[in-house]
Amino acid sequence: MRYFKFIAALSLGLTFLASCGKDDEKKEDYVPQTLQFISYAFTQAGNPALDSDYVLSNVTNSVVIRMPEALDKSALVAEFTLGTNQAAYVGGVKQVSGVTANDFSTPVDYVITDTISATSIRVTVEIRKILVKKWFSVAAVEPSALGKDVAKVMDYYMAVSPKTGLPSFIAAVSNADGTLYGSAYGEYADGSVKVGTGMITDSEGVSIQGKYPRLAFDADGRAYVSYYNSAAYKNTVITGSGSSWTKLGDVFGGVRSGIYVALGIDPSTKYPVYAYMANSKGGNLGRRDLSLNYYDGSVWQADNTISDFAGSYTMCPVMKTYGGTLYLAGVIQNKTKTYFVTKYAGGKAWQTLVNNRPEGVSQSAIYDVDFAVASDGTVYLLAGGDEDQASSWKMNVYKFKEGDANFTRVGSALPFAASNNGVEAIFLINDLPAIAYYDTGSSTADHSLKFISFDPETMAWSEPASIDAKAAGDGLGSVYAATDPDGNVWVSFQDENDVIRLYEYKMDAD
Amino acid sequence: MIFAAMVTLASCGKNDQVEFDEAFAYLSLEDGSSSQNIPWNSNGNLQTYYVNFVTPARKDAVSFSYVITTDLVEGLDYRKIATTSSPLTFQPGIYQMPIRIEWLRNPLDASASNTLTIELTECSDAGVRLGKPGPAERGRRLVITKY
Repeated sequence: MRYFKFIAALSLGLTFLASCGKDDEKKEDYVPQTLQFISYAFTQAGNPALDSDYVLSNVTNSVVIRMPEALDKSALVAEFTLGTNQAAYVGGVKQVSGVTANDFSTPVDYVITDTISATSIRVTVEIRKILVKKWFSVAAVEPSALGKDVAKVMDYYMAVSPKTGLPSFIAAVSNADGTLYGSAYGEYADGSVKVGTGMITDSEGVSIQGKYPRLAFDADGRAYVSYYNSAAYKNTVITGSGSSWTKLGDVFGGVRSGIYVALGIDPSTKYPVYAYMANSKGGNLGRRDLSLNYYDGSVWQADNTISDFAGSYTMCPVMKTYGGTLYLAGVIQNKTKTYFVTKYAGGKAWQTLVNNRPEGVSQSAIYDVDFAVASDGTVYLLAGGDEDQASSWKMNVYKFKEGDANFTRVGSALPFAASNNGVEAIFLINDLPAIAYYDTGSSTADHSLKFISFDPETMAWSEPASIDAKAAGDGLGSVYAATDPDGNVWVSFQDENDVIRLYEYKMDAD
Repeated sequence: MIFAAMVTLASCGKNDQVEFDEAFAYLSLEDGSSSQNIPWNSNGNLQTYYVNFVTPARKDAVSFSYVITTDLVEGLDYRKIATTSSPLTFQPGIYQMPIRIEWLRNPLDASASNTLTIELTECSDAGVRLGKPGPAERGRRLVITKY
């Protein structure tokens, strides 16, 4: 009996020892699945505040999920799947898919552990805001910063250098009692505006006194400034930067000019082209002819006309360069009463793209005119129209593409009154029109700088959004817009205190 | 002769290499430094500090406790991130865990030191050294100074 008990005990013991070995073999044979979130998601079903589902798969490293900035991330519930024998922990707390809420306003560190192999990885889930383009206020230049004794800004113009992608402006300024006039040039660089010291003078040391300043850059970033001296009925173009400027040729123009001037650059010669409306008849210019003046490197070939418009009252000229082509747009106020867009063909020749009146518009209007040209050559013209109600003028955007018979209005009328105060400017976002404008609103408190853009999905203008709610007051300063080579938009605005403000529309950053 | 033999035997031990396999943990920034300066006017500035665990592979989890000592005001000068609060659990296979602090904009008290110290105080495995080996216990504390 003892013998059999011994054999039984021995057998049991041998069996036990054999099974122990098999467990070890099982552990040694165990191959853990990849440590990862096989799927990881924030769903609307689990988080009603979300605008959509955010789903990831095979997450083995730290990830960034972008969600709307305004979203409350303090208690989001993640749904996830793990491999066999795996568990996820946050702060030592085991996570339950679809149940455990965490505060994702800061990164959340998960530890995924395989309970059999005792291996783990750490995965950090970080939620950041969706990056969108936003307006940034980058500079506010007081009149006093524009030079000694400067108290007022009578007029200014902003343009962006194609070389640096940064804006500059030329301002016609005066002292407090208006007895001393001059000009100041501001260049934005390294986060601030650098202003040439004092009121700038030309190479002869004469303080540059003029009205209706304009600024244009050639492709190399060389700046050209034009201005009109009303006392002498002469126009001047200078080139330079800061406080150092050189007059190009002599003054030119033989008749009284007015506020309608434009400055552009001949793309092939890189020399300036200057246009002004002749207020009176003189030489080969008829009254209110548009005078075109071309610098040839030595002298000005002055007071030419564009044959398609010669003899017409040609007003509100605007010149801009798009895609290496110089465009000129404006208003024919008599005769055809149309809006025109023409492009420079070189050698003083212009090719008229369109000279027409949008359908339903009773006549062209001497309201602010501006334009932008998309990469496919579509012209977007900002101009007045009364097509919705006769003689009730609104600002509109009209588009024209070569081959079209006429302008086509983009969406409906813009949500601000037609004006000739220079308080709106057109630019493009993804080749579609957008407007920066000073909204005078219903009361002084409502005045602010705003922008709207055209939504191709709704085929309508967006709700107005604020660029700067602080730009309030009765001031009706000029608004200019220009686009840099990276597609970022710059807008300038002269507020009620003659402060020149610069804004950049660019992608936000984390 | 016996004396010579004894001296020889004693000196032999002095030339033997000392193997060091003690596990330890230390604090650092991501770049390995053990101190940091934070501008007083940076707001919403989220910083990450790490507990680094140097150890042979383990099969069990280990937790480390730490304390924050400071004359700065929580909620005004800084905010602790709850998911990285003490104790930090190191699951097997994890050798680094973060401690996050969000720095807030708040003027400095000129009479205070304006420092915050994170210090490792305990490990669930008493055999784990806090700080790097050596009497100075380098890395047991990490000092952040607001300036």
